[in-house]
Amino acid sequence: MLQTIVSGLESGSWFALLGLAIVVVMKAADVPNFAMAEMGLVATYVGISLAAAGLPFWITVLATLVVGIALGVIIDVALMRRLSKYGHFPLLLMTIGLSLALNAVVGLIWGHSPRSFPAPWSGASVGVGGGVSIGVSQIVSIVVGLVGAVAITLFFRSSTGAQMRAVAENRATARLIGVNAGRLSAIAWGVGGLIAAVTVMLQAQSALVSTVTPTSLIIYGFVAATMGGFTSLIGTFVGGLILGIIQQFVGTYVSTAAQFSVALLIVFLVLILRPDGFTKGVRLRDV
Amino acid sequence: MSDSTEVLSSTPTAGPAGVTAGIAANAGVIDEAQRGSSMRKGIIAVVALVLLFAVPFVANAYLVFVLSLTLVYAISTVGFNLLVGWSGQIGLAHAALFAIGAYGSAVGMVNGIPFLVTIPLAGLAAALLAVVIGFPAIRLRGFFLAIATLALGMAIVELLVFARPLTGGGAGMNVDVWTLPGITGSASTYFVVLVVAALTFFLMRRALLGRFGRTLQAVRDLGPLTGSLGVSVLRYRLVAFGLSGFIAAVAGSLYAQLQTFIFPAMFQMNLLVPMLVMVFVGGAGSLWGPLVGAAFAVVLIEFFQDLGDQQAIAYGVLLMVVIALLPGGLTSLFRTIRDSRFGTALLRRKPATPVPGTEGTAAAPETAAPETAAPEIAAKEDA
Repeated sequence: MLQTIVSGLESGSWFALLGLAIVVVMKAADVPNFAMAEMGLVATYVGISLAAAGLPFWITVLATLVVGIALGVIIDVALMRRLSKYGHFPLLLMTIGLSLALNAVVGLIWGHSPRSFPAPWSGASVGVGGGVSIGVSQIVSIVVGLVGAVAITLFFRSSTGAQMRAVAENRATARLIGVNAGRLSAIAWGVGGLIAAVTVMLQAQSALVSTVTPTSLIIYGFVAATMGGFTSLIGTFVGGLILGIIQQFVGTYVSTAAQFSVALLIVFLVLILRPDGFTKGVRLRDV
Repeated sequence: MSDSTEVLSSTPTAGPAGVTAGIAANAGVIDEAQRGSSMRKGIIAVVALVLLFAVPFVANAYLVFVLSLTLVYAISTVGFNLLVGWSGQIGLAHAALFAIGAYGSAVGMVNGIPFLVTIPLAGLAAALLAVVIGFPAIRLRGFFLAIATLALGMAIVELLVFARPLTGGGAGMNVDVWTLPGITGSASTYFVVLVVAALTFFLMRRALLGRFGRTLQAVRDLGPLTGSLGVSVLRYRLVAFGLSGFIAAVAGSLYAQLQTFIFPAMFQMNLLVPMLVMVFVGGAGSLWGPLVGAAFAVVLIEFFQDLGDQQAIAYGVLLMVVIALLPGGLTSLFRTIRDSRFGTALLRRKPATPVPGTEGTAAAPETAAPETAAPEIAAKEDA
């Protein structure tokens, strides 16, 4: 029981972080990024390759984060910015095309077999009595997820964050009052890439990742983001954790094959019943 | 983002602005299609059909297969284009509805229903399902609808894995190939595909050029405002979903005949992205775009055969390039060239006449030589 909850919180942290990455890009660039998990996967695979080449652990972590940021900024500058005047749909299709292409590029370079990101604490566990032990990597996931959520919330309290929301609301008007929209969307994409890299790295230090990981991860991220109505950071974070726990319980007591369907059912129900997310009223997007 | 605020805050072109931007390039489709003599067009269509019917007797099996595949994708894209292009709704469950057609037909045949009967049955089942999937369209717009329909589509494919007794689960199932007496299975399939494709294009052309197509466009561009004209927005949106689902499943049932073995993983994102490519390469909201887009995609498949990753990269990059550079698709590129001064000069003998049937040959983007070549050929044919 406790084991299930901890596992749920662990995977929930991944979902919540990826959901937060989606929401950050959503807030600044107004596009649901279907390529988010692939961006994280590319960054993580670079890190894994560096680790295999013998670099120290923390250097590889740093390199992974830098690759994630760079990837986000490059995608924004090279692909997204010139399309932003056309509205949502071309941007959305662009990210779908990008996710397919990035995934295949990873498959070409690194192959399709699962890999892991070995951390110094991988495999270690802490006993908590009653014969139950919790992996250190699980604790790392949960703690990093919590820290990340707090950091992003603080980021949006800052003046940069406020400008970001202004750009998402109305790019032209925000520019008129002196907001540098291009710089902000690059920052948002960079932050998104950073969080995505952290997410996939967390998953890789605890479990295995492969080219099939992003497909399910992005759906779970979208479920979390949907629970927050694509606007609320808290709603997204809590939604991700709840989703992780539900998913673990379904996996333990029903069937692992049903996990994915349950997540899809949740996204559908949320969109039908509460299209603005569960924290509607706390903060509105169309203010 | 609620419905009311979006309607209030946006210009009359509510709906997803991007679709409208892409479709603006194809805005003249209806007027243009009604130019020129319908008699001559009819003759050209009949001649083309007769030539296509002769193909299995002169060409090898591989060419017949490629042609069948192109036509099946073209049928499916007609349905997708109807939903995405003409009605402006981003429903992303098309691959799943295609799967319903494939599995519906295959399972029906296992249970003793004749193949030709399973086609409309699978179509009806998928149409019902599509209307259910389309119900979120009442409340959701833009990418929220995209996410909801994508989730439902994925759930449908997951259900196919669960329904192991019927569908063989993730391992897939064999499809009985329907054969006409006297000829091979692939030729029989080709004939059925050809007849269905001709019917689909003919009926869809009639529907879209008439009141139905114009009303769909009005609903797409004006949204709830059309309510004041006595047009039920809701009904037209759901009809578009149902009709596109029907066509998707019909195409899916033919696809199963072509592949002879189907499994759920065939119908996931790796099918949805090519479907989007077909719609947008052909041109969202155009009439002949589906045929052009399907031909383009099949050529791409044949080029990158058996190279899973490279093919995926090609599709992903292609989708990105088309979205970025060619919002109206290849058919609009052709129109742009023809309407430019250069094109008009080449077509001077009959400036206002469209060139039916040659649109498929204008499939070479950006390179100068084919661009000039296509209108030249067209001009000769006109003369």
